[in-house]
Amino acid sequence: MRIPSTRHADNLVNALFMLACIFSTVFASTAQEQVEDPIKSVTQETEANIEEPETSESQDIETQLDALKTTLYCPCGCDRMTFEICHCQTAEQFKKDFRKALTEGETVEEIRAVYLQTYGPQYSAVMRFVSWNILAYMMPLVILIAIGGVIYLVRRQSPYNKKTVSTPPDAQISDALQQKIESDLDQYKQNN
Amino acid sequence: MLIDKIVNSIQQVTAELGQAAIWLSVLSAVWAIIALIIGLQQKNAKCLQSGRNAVIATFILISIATGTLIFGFVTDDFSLRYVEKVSSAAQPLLYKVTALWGQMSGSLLFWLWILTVCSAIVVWQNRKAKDTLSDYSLIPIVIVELFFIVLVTGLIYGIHNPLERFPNGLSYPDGQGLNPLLQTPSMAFHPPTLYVGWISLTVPFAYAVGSLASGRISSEWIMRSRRWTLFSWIVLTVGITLGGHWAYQELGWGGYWAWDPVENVSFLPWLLCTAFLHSVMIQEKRNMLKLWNILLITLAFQFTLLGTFITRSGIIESVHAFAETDTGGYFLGFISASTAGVLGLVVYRWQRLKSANRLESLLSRESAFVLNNWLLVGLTLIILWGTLWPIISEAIQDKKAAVPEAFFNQVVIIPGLLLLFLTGAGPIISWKKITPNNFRRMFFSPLVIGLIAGVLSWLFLAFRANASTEAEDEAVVQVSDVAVTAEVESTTLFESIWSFVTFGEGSIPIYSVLCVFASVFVLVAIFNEFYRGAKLRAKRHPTSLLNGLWLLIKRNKRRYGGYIVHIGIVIVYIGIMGSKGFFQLESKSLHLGDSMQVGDYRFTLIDTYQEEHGNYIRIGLTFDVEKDGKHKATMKPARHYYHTTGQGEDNTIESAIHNIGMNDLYIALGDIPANINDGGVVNVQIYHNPLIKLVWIGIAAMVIGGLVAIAERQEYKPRPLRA
Repeated sequence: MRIPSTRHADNLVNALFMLACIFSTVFASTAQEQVEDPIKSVTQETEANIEEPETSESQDIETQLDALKTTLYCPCGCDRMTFEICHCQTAEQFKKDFRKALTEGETVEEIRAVYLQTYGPQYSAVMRFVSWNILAYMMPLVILIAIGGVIYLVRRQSPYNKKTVSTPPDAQISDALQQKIESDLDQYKQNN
Repeated sequence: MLIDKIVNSIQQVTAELGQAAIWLSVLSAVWAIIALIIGLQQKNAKCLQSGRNAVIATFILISIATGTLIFGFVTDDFSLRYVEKVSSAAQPLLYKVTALWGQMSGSLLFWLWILTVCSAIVVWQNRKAKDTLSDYSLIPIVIVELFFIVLVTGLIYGIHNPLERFPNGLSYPDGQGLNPLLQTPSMAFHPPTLYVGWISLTVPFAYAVGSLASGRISSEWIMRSRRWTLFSWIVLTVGITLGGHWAYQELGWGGYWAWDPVENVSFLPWLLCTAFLHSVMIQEKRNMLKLWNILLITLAFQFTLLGTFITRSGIIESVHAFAETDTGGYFLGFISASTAGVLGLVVYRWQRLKSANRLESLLSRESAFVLNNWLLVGLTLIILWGTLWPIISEAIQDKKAAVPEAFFNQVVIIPGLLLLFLTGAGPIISWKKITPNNFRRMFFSPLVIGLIAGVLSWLFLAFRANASTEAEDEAVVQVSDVAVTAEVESTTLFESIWSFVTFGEGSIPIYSVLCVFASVFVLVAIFNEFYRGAKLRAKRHPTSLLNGLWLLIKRNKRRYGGYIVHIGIVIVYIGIMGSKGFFQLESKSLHLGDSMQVGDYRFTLIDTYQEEHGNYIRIGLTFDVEKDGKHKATMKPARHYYHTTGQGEDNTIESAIHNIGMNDLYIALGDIPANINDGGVVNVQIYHNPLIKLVWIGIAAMVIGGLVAIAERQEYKPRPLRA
């Protein structure tokens, strides 16, 4: 087997960029699916089930209620607690109100909108891939690429890139030891 | 009576004594800085010794101040503002003492005291060698001390002196009491460990500054500060874990990590410290990354202050922020000034900071370490970005957005998995460049076994998902970032591939499969390292394999301690994968006698109980847990209702946790109504957290590995002052 190696370390930077690109492709694909969909998918599901018999209606309401419980923070003061995990009486009351509103025919989106309008957007437990939030989602990629870029620039501008510098003694010792260990291991392997 | 009189008369003077000590410490710290600078400039040994003595004097004075405040807590001296605010007579002794860091000014004094302890240790370590590098390093430490001393004097707007009394001899009969959430064993030890971890990072930072100031920019400062950095890393690991454990027990949401801003800012220095511990190896071995290492430890130190700024300024809300004041601006100012100072020194020493060697190959250990640093620093900045997003969002669109847990899970998962892979690849790839022989010998078996494990886990999860779909088990909650809910109607090539690997329905958490592959790869790689090394030792010193292993670790504690840490990291990853990706949650309102099913377990509410404790009443429920009709456990979740609560809620959730192998059954209660025995209902949440035990076990392994690594002493030649 031949292992590709090069004396030009810029390849490392190329690899960093490549990894960042892979990361961005996978990330961007999954980000949209995962972030945009929780409520939308429930809405679509509900629309699809609209003509189903009444027996599945309560199930639909529970599914929609789950969508609300997991995507809204409770305003009780327990910071960053969604209705799903908040234990307070306020949360219990809100869950009852949500169920009632859903039973009366209001959609998840409508209830959500009213809730967020009343309490503020900071009570949304979902960051959708829209508007300025796109900046929030894309910045991690920019950060990774930027750090790779800094490494690239530092490497390129280093005067040591163009000349050979002797290896310090400690590294030579280390390599010699490394070789000795490797040869010992090979010898051991042959003996066994 | 006599004792009371004695205590009262001592109380009359202790706070004043403490205040005087704080004011005197200003003088001693200033003198320490002046004496050290003059001593180093004029090569005056007496002046240097005077500076060192002033450092010790500052430590003694701040110890007196801290001691007098603790005395105030223990003797219930409610004439002190701070004691009255965070303590009460009925509070157990442990929580009276821990109330020291219950609010801002006490936290600052405690922080300062730890820092003075660190500086005193640096002086003590240098008592024989009288190395000038240590003297250079003492200056930045004392400057940081001075900043904190000024904060606790009470001169600064927004912060009271913690030893300040109420005016006109006013004294309250009792205090308001410590926030009930802080009255738990985890919280008694979590803040001090975190503080020690953060504050001790000042020492490696100071050594970096000292090396720049003195011009001794070899590996010397790294060797001098290595054990300090490792110590900080170990203590931070313990501190962060205690915080997670506290959240798991006290907040009642069944988890230990939710990317809360305060959690994040405690995690950021840890990430940078981890990156630093790796990158210094390249400087030691290859004389590279000098500038990078200095910037990295500077960043780690600044992030400890930034964390304090973020959490103490109140600009971001958090469940962990117990002491918000107006101190943010001072911290920000100090961070800016100290960063500017370090950058100035970097510019001054620019020519000497260049690497003596260069990366020779993409496939080398140096490259793996650079990649590791890239990911760790990248993760740090990404998490910081997410943490600050509410402020940025408010600035650009005039509305405060909350950043949910899912955002962080989503953005860290891929870099996190890459880091996991590097945990195994880094130690087995050779320095300079990989050879075909090295690749075959070191990578072949880990890769093959890892791939087999990955495929098997994929099949297992596919089988499980299929069975789950058939049974229509809707109780399974899979977190959105791990359980991929891809659309069935795929159009692009990527979506087709994704759909295929997730079995069409999107029910296979593919990141879990990658996690299994990487974990097994790392475990096999590290096992090979131990096995080969131990066998070689056993052969050289004819002895058993086990003894060979012991000799191996004893001979190179740093390297093999690091490997143990890596094993711990793998265990933590598996624990996170299980507990975050496959937990089950059921929530229901129950009457006495009602039951609910969570997974294979049936929980029946059989009884209620009430217990009187010192400063709270415990009201709880008793659950009978059954599996397949057989009794498995009795669980007793409760709520504690406190008599005195100056701050926070008047009650806390006391979750019941029952271990079954590596899994936990977890019950948390909503408010318990007074009529619970007469038909009232209580909201109950029950979690089944698979593999969660592995998180704690893995962290314990990491700490053990860190302790093994710290046991290794590195020799360095001290350079005393030459006139």
